[in-house]
Amino acid sequence: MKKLNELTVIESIEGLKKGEFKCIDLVETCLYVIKIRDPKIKAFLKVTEDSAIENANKADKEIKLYGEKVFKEKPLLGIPYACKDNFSTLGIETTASSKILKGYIPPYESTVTKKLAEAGAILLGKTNMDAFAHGASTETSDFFTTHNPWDLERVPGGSSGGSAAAVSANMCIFAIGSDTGGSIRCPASWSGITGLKPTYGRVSRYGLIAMASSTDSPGPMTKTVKDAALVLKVIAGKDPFDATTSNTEVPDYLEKIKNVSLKGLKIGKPRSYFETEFESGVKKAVLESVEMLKENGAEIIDIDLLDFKYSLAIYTIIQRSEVSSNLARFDGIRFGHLRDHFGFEARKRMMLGSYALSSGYYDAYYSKAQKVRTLIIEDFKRAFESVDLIIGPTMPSVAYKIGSKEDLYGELTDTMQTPGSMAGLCVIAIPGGFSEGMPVGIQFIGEQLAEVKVLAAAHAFQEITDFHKKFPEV
Amino acid sequence: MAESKISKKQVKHVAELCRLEISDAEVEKLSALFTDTLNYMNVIGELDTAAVVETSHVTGEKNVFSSKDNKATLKREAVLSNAGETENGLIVTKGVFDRD
Amino acid sequence: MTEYKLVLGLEVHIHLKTETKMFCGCDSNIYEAEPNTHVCPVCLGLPGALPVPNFEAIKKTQVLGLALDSILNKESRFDRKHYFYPDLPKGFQISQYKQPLCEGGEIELDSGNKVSLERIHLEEDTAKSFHENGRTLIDFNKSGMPLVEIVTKPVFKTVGESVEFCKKIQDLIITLGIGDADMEKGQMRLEANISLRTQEMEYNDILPDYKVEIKNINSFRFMEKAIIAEIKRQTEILQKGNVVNQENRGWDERSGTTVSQRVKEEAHDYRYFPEPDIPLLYFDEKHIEELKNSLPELPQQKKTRLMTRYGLTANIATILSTGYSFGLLKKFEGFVESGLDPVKTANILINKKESRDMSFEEFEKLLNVSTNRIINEKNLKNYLEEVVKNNRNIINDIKGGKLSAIEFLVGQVMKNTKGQADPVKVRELLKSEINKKFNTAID
Repeated sequence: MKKLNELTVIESIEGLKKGEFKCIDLVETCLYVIKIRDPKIKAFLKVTEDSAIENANKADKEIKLYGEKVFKEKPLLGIPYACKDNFSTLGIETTASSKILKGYIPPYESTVTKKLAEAGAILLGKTNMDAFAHGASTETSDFFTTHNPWDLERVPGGSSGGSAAAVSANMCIFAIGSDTGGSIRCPASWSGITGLKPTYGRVSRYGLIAMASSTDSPGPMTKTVKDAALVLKVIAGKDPFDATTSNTEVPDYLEKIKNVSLKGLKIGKPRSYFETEFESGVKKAVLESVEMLKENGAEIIDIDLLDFKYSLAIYTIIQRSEVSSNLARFDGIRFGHLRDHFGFEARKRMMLGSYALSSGYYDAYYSKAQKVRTLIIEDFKRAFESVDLIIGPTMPSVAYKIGSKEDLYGELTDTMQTPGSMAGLCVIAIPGGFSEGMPVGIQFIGEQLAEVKVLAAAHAFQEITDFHKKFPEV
Repeated sequence: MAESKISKKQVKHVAELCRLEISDAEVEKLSALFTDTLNYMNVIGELDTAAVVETSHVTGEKNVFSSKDNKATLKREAVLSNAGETENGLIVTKGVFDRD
Repeated sequence: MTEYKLVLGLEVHIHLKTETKMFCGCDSNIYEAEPNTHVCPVCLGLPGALPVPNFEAIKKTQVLGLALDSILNKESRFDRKHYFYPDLPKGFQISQYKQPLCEGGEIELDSGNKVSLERIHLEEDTAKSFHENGRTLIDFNKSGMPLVEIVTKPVFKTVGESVEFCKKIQDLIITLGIGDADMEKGQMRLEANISLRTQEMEYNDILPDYKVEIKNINSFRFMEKAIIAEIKRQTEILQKGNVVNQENRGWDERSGTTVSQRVKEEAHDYRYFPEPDIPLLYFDEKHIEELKNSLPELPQQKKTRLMTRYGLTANIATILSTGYSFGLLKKFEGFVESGLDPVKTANILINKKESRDMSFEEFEKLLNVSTNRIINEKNLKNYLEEVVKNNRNIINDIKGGKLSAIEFLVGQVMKNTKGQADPVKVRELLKSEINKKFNTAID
């Protein structure tokens, strides 16, 4: 019998509808679990206990007043979630885990958190991250490191490490993260949960503290693919405040992925992705997952894609350039502290980014990188002519021990995530096995706006496996 | 034109471009780090992009404009709420740096 | 002493009159507002805020480009221009670098000389800052206002030409209805790029290797004074055989000189790159046709029309064709449609301010002509000839030196035309008629 905090979004809604428990029970249970587990995990920067309880009581009143049908208008009513601290939350301190924003209280709400609130979801707190999302381990947070619930001595992944750990340790029902070069997929894989990076422009970035404007993608981090589908429907859509959001209608993802099978699904297996250097345990787990897909009717087709090293290179150049630009507004005048409050990683990235944009170097770096980006986009387009989806590993290893990597070059860890990011594609990372007792993730890559296909395949995989049902003992 | 090394002078220059103060020890360290990273970045030189157009927006959207829905004007207290110092409705900062 | 030739180019910045700011929904009517009351996360540059471009501003810029004969780029985009300053909240300005909305263009001065333009582009304005006692106080109302920048080629031969250019641009903006261009409100700002070169360089089309930029000029008078002072300063330096430093200078009214604001050894590194938050702009033929059709009659066109259709002189036509004279022109056209003489009407409207508020009847009285029968020059000739024929003795008096006798003839013509002729005109024509016929030289 699952405890309330261990429920999925869908199970919680069912339970609320049936009157098996109330929203206040859900919220209070999560708050209690946070109290006992988070001192070890340190996923949360801030817990908004009072407002969560207040909102839970309000939600219960609404359910009492309107009954089940209220969920039609508010599909996430009463569901407690955790939010990465780079989403601007009105009246609630938002720091992006950086000292420079300590004490910053946004006077406006991000579109994602606004939509979640309108759907009735209840914010439990803001979660830890790599400062300004510069990293893949959450170790570069200016405040503290988050611990992987599967092994407290290891990193949870990053930059959405806090959100991943919060879900993995069942301290919330779902969480929100952002993915620029793997920041949802990496921690999802290392913490053993589901993380969706939607197509760039599918979800509004308004209010999301910008890292790399041309690839930042907010997305759901959940216990199951079905949960991700439900949350995505709530947060996706055109936003007048974000000119890069897509005009395309948002389908009912959850509806669309029911009853989809793997039979006949053409899945591309890029040779270069699987020939790269891996921990053997990880490789084994991933290959076994590929086999499972094959056994259940999917057609695995070997394809050729451009080597990772190119997307890694352009991701480094473009991301750092855009970072250097996006952090120029932190001058300590209208908000935040002075620029000497930036951490080392942020400063490093800003400087190299400025270099890539500077006079004399712009053509060789930023401009050339944007051209290679076109090549990568075309490379994927070609691949998708013969396959429905592309499968790949997410990380070359399992989560490493905290402090063990003198990360000379932060983006290396994210190598396998970068191609999808550069092409703005839709990618999901789901649990695909274990190695040394640590979760291993696999990713399904789909074309832009192919969320239905991606979610369907990932969901079908979760129907035939139970990796995603495993949670650590904390 | 891809360099293979970033000199200390260049490190100091980019730090200035970003308005960041760095110590001499950091200049050393960064010069080495950047050179390392450059090696990864320079692989793009291997690809022929002579006939390729840059992608600056991956979605291919175009002509997106504001509308009546874009009104988000803040009350003055909110505008001033995160500033270090304010006076008579203005935001105050010490010292002026030269306009570039 | 070497004579130096002026190399002068201008950058004119104008606030467009649109409902909202350039990249956000804040009300753009900031001019009398309390500080920091027209500000949102976008124009305040808060983390997470995103720019969304104002189509009205884009169209108004393109209309300006059409009126100035520029080429409208079918593809255009915004770029980030990076530098640090307290009045620039994002640490970069969203402007246009590689693909501006308009390229090239020109405008004709009264002398017939044409001023060639480099480009016309659109960007956002910075906030307003005051400096006092080592502190800077900032009002972000102006931050994000839509700003059109017109960049000329360095073609002005004289200071006077540059002032005339600015006035014509100001007038065009008003005529097009895209802005008020009120310099006192800061809606129009000027920047001058000045250098000097030798006759030989000019002949060979070589530009000097430096230029001095004078920024933030907010009146035509100041611009004139500043340029003249700067020419003098540079001349003195060059004549001594020294080099003029490339720098920014400001006009100091008190000392009557330009003063150095900063000397930079290197050029600015703005690190331009395409604005990733704003999708590209594409304009099709239909859009451009619509804009062309929406153009009102431009000052130059008006002037030509007034001269050819109504026989007005160039000076009068110029006055009536300015944007300021829009009301006056309407009045003029109204009166003329109702039958009044155009030249006279124009003269009176321009020279007699009190006539501008008159009704048609009042004005007509002033002109002393009835609407129904106007005696034009052709008809007048008959009257004149008759009077001359019938008054030989008066003619003889005039020939004999009694010049004032012409008044009798004038009176006769007035009597015969029942007072409908213009006595001034009659006198003039009589004089020339008599001179012609009788070989006299009355003036």
